[in-house]
Amino acid sequence: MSTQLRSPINGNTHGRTLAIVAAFLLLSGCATTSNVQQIDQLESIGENPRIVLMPPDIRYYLLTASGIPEPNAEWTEAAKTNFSKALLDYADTIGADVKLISADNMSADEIQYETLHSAVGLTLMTHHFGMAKLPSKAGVFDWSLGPGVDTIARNHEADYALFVYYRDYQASGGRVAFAILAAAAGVGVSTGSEHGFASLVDLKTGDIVWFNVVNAGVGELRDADSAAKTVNALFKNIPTARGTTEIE
Amino acid sequence: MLLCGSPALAEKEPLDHKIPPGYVPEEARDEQGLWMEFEEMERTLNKSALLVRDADINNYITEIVCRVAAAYCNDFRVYVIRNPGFNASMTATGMMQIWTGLIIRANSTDEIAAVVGHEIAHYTRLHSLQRLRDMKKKLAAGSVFDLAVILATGYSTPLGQMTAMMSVLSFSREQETEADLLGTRILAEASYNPHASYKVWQRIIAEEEAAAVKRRKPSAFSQTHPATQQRASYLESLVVSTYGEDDAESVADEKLLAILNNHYLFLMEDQLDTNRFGRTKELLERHREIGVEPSLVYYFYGEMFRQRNEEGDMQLAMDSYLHSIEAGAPPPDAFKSLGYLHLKSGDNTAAQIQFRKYLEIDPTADDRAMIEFYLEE
Amino acid sequence: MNKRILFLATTFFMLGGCVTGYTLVEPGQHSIDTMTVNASSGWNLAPGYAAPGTRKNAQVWTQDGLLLDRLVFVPAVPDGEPILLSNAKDAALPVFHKSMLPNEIEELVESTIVKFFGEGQAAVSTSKLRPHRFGDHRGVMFDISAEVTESPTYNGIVGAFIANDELYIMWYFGAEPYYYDKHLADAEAIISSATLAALN
Repeated sequence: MSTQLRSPINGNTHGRTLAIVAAFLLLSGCATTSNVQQIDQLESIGENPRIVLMPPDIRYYLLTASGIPEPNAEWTEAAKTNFSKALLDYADTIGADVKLISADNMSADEIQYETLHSAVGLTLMTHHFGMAKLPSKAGVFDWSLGPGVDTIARNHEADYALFVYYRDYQASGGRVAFAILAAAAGVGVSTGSEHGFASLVDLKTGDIVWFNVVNAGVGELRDADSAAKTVNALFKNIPTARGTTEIE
Repeated sequence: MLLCGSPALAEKEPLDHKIPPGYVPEEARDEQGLWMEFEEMERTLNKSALLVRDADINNYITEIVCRVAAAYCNDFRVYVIRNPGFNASMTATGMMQIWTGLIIRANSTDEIAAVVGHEIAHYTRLHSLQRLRDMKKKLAAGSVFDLAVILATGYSTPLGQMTAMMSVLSFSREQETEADLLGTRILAEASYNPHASYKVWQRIIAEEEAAAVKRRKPSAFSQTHPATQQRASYLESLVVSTYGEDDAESVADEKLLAILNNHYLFLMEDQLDTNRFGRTKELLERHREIGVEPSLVYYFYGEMFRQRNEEGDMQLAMDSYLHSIEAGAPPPDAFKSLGYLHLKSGDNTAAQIQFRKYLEIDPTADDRAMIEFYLEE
Repeated sequence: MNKRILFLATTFFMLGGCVTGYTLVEPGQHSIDTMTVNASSGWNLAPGYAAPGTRKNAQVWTQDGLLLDRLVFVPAVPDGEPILLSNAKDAALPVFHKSMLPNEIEELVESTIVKFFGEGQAAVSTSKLRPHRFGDHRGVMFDISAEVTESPTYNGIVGAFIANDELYIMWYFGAEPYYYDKHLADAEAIISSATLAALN
């Protein structure tokens, strides 16, 4: 906290979270694409391609009548558990093995790459999926975490790393009621939203080989059945062990 | 045994903790959600580039926290954060942050303990949960915020999370008073000097007055702990009436001095980077008074005057560096800075003497190329 | 720099969303006010709103995006003025003095970068101060490192010289790991190539 500490040059400083929310808002306004697929087949040194899942950044909130999102521990725990389970099932369908990394057990390197990936993710939302293209790229998608990620490969004997970010705001009854009243008065009020992205990194090179952005209506992670559907949407077009025939 | 202090009782019985040691929320869903967010924040904090990992500093602070916390010692995890501002904070989950700015502003370990006691009281009185509930009632329907952002702001975290809704998030006056009262009580019970509790406020006020560039808005600490003169006075009369006059001898606090002396360059360089010379000068005066190694203090006086660069400052800076050198244990940069000052005043010969001394004392100096350039001129 | 992206994103949002603004920097000689540099290929000039606090005649370039790498050119900072701008009256931004020596330039930049990220949000250190000739002008270069909360570490280099009582200053920051190394050689070459346009 720190009004004292805000950058006098930028005016207001806001955390990564607000930046991501803003980027998503921006995206829904004029997104060009929401999916990048650089390879269609997963490779592997071992028998099956092995993917290490970085601790998923998933949060569920109750959007109360006052507009304050209240973090809901029960829903978040359920969402994380269901997500992991649905992911493991999904991994079978694409022919990959998945290893889960615990948030409390990350090496210094993993933490560093997690931080870097956040910066790269935000960059992608702005410059690749958003309208602020970087002319020097000429449309080419070449963002990477760099070959230093091989430490993660070696730690977990993995071929790829998967990063997932997801936020879900569920409107309370009071919020819905308030929204109805507001609508009658001609004022639009949000009744909840969901957004997220998933990213696949090749651990030989650090290159992001697949990235998918989701905005609204992707589903529900709080129960096991719906979670499977949500995972399908989140991992649209992800490369598989056999090679995908569907190309967006 | 859980002793509850309801508002009515507070007037008749001494203010007490609301939760027992080892407390974990059981039922309330909003409380569990709050804990989850704070656990995430703590994970992030553990990875922070600004986390101070030095064992010395951490042991010193942890010892203070444990002593003040008494039975609650194991409920807290203490994080020392590299931030030159004055602040300390506590979340509902027992994650305590102490900024390095607090260490350089304390005149005694008791003063650090006073701030710690105040924060512990916020914790045992469940003020954060109370605040969440108050906030839900207070805020009008509006835009969507990530709650961690909102609450993080109120908890003085340097984690870059802020919101414009500062005033809504400060503790209520009642909560602040509770923290003052209970904090002072546990401070005294831990055998620290209870008079330190109001001295802390007085120092914040003094620093603000010494500031050349006044803050437009109150500092981080002031925002959540409104430090008005009234409050310092009220606490002073309360402490005097409860514990008597301050008759503690003004002796140098060996433990605090050891920390300052052994880590002074590290602790003070961030303060210098703030470019806030009135405040820096105020802190240096205090360090001089409490007996920090003179070579170190005068070196920083030199740096402060040199960077402030007002009329007459060059001479004051030179005198300070010379004083630092005379005191016997000057940092190598004292010679370098003195050399540069000689250069500025046109005395190349004197400059070269100091530059040579600098390279002699610090042969691995990373700016050797620049210094040798001046030696060759 | 996360804060800057927020600024960028919100500005987009306010403008109705669909504005680009980044322009290609053609390789070769470039004038930035009275300064000339030799640009390699791959750089993009950031629009004003992406880099708030920048002086009017300054330029900010990037290859992979401002959160990952940035090359900043601030020409002709007058005596008594700060390198970056702020509206906040209590910012206490350090200012340039024409009589500044290399060690003071180093401190000026260090404090400025701390303010840029936000006091208490970053710990900045400088090292390896060394002389460097920028065309006919004696100047300096040094390394810089910024540890920033909730961000990658940013490492970089700075080049500076004083001419006509004004400060010409350039810096490169790249995120760790990978991005700093990726653009360092290019950035260093561009900074080293800086000269003052010949007076006619």
